[in-house]
Amino acid sequence: MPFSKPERDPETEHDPLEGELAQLEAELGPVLTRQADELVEQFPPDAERVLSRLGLALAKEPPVRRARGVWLWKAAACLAFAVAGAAWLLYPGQENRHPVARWHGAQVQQTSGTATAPEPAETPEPAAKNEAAASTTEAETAPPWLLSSEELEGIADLEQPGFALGI
Amino acid sequence: MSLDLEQLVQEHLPRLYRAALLLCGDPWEADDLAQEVFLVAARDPDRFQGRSAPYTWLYGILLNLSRRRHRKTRLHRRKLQVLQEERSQQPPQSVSAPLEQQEFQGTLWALVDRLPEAQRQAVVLRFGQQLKYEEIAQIMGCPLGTVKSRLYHALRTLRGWMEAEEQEEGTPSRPATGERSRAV
Repeated sequence: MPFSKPERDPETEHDPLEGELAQLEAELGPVLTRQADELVEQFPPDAERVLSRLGLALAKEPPVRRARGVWLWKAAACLAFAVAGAAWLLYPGQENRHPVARWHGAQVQQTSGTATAPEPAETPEPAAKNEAAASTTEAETAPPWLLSSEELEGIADLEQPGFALGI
Repeated sequence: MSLDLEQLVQEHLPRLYRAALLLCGDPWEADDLAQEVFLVAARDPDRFQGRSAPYTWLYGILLNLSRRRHRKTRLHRRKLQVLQEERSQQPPQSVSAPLEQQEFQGTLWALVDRLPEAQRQAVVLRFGQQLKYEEIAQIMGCPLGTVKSRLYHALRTLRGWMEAEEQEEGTPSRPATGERSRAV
């Protein structure tokens, strides 16, 4: 038979569990209360000591409100630093400052140039023409730190087996 | 909302200290716990919205701190026990508890200390603080029925333990007053 909660007595509208709780409270409650009174009588609190210790502790540690203010200032300073850094890196007018900025500037200039010029229709071209076009666009758009294909080939030659031995 | 710390301490320290003493069973720890409650209240007085009585708010802080401290103490005791067993390879010897703790051990509150956390807190607020069910529910942040159920289970468990102890001691008569022998 599944567990079912004992039904309320319709006459008294009383939960039987509450009745049992009241009985338990009547049995154990007074003892618990009396023993608690005895314990506190034996070891009473000392308000003066607590106040003096609280004063010391609060003098050492400032209230949260002040600490919150400090955090706010720190967060604002970090945000300002991050914005200034991003502007220094990416602003197109400062091209001579950083390679990233120079590359970004070139990108911006290129996009602004292509935006005004009419785009040629895409037609299939011979492979040689495509390669030439690719090399010119690579030279125009590549960032300054990117090695050209000739330089890359030179490095590949160095890695040929036997080169280190002088064979 | 601004709170006068000195007034708060003078008004509520006795009640809070009493609850802390029953929750942790050691007057020194109870002292620390009560002080910590006021420290938390003083550090962040804005948390008190004024929607409830100040003591409800303070009790809430006390229960949270006590829960944390109880967990730490239990962990610490377990570690000590393991260390002791490892060192001596013998069963841990019972170290005589300080006088204050002996006093606590001789009461029914020592059995309350063995109850689950939520039941223990409900018993302390009900019989240590004489609070109504509604107040306990507000402090513990749970429905009224839950408070009653916790109290019911706690008291039933307590009575079971008392009966088991009596059977072990071989005293057939159950103490009508519920007095627990002081020599435990």
